[in-house]
Amino acid sequence: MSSHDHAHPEYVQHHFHTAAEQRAASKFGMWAFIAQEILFFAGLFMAYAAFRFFYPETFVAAHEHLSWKMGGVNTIVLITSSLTMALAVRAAQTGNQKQLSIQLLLTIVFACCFLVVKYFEYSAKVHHCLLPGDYYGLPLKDDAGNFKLDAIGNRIFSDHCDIPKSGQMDAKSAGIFFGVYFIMTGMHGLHVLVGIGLLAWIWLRARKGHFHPKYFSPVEYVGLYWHLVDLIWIFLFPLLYLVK
Amino acid sequence: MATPHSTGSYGADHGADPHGAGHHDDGHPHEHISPLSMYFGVFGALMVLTVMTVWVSTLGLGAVSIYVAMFVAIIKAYMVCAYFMHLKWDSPFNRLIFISSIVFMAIFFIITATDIGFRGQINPETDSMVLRQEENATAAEAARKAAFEAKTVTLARAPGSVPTGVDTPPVAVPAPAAPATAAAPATAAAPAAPGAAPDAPAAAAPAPAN
Repeated sequence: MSSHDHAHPEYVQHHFHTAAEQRAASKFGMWAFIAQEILFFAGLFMAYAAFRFFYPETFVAAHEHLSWKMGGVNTIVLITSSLTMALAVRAAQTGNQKQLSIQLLLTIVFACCFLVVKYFEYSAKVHHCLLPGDYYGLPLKDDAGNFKLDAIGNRIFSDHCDIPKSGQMDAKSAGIFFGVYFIMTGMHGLHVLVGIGLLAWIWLRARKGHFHPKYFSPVEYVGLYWHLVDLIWIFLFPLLYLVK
Repeated sequence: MATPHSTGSYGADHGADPHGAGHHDDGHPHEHISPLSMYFGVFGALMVLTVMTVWVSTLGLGAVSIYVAMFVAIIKAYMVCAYFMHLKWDSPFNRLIFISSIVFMAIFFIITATDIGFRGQINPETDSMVLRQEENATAAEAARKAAFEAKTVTLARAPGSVPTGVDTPPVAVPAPAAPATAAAPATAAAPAAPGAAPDAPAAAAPAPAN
């Protein structure tokens, strides 16, 4: 190993020869993680496709209960946050500490906006009893725990649930749709939440001056993660909110 | 801020560009720094495509709608990956990892979709899968019944002005009402088995078919 003090600055771990080697290794790890994330979400998307294939009328009828306006606003919020994240990485690359801090903060603000909109969406669903699985409509049960049924065999929903009366949706398949909806958007929302934590950590480190044009990998990898969150939403939005 | 920077504007950044300092191999990575115009250009394109996705969904394209929506989403995903995630300038090996995840996702989708697509349907009454073979058997049964009903109705009308065959549910026609006056033509249509198998339409079906 070189005695050249350039070879081992404080940000290079001792088991790497050079900063370039460390960077190549860590970046490879990050992309492997992203590949894993894609395959993880692939399972959820496949579940969506399978249930849509089984209950096409329900999926078309149920998506009318999702607010495409809220979904659209969240799409714009996430794309904007992707831009500010990319600008933060660029600021780190160019050593512009002020811009790095500002853009990271903006990204955190947009991420929080996304979750606030999501909160309003979820509470509207809960208010209307548009809940997953057997909880759809909070159906009444008899003493033995079986669903009470009306004359034509439909479940009787709880009185305080104003479930919109749009046709083609039996309680069972509607429960499946909202199960898919809550799991997919919930997993995505969890990623947003984790992203906020990571962004806050990176922002604190940035304020301490940890990053500069020769070392900004953590900023970039949190950025990659954040773009992935955006990427998944790009597919979730039309599939859940728009497709007729 | 931790490090004072004289200007907040991006214009001053280029002075700090490591590329500007020349390319000497000191073991440090040399990163591609994209111009700001690229980021804002991609951002604008993503916004336009988002508006387009919403607009397309209002056109009432029906079944085509999902393909258009997915096509636009794939273009958007490409832009995010290539430009925001810098995959365009990343090492070919990292590109390979990313593309391989897409390939394996496609394998997963195709195999699962093939399974589900050729398995059959869900029977909403029993809420269980109806396998393709059963489905075909059910379809053949339905066709047989339909042929039987058509014939029964025709025969019921033929002898005279008795409209009963049209009014009553057709399956009930050949059955237990046989002694009653209205169903007389139906009984006549099945002389081989008069009044036979009153509650088993499947057994009654072959008789008038002769």
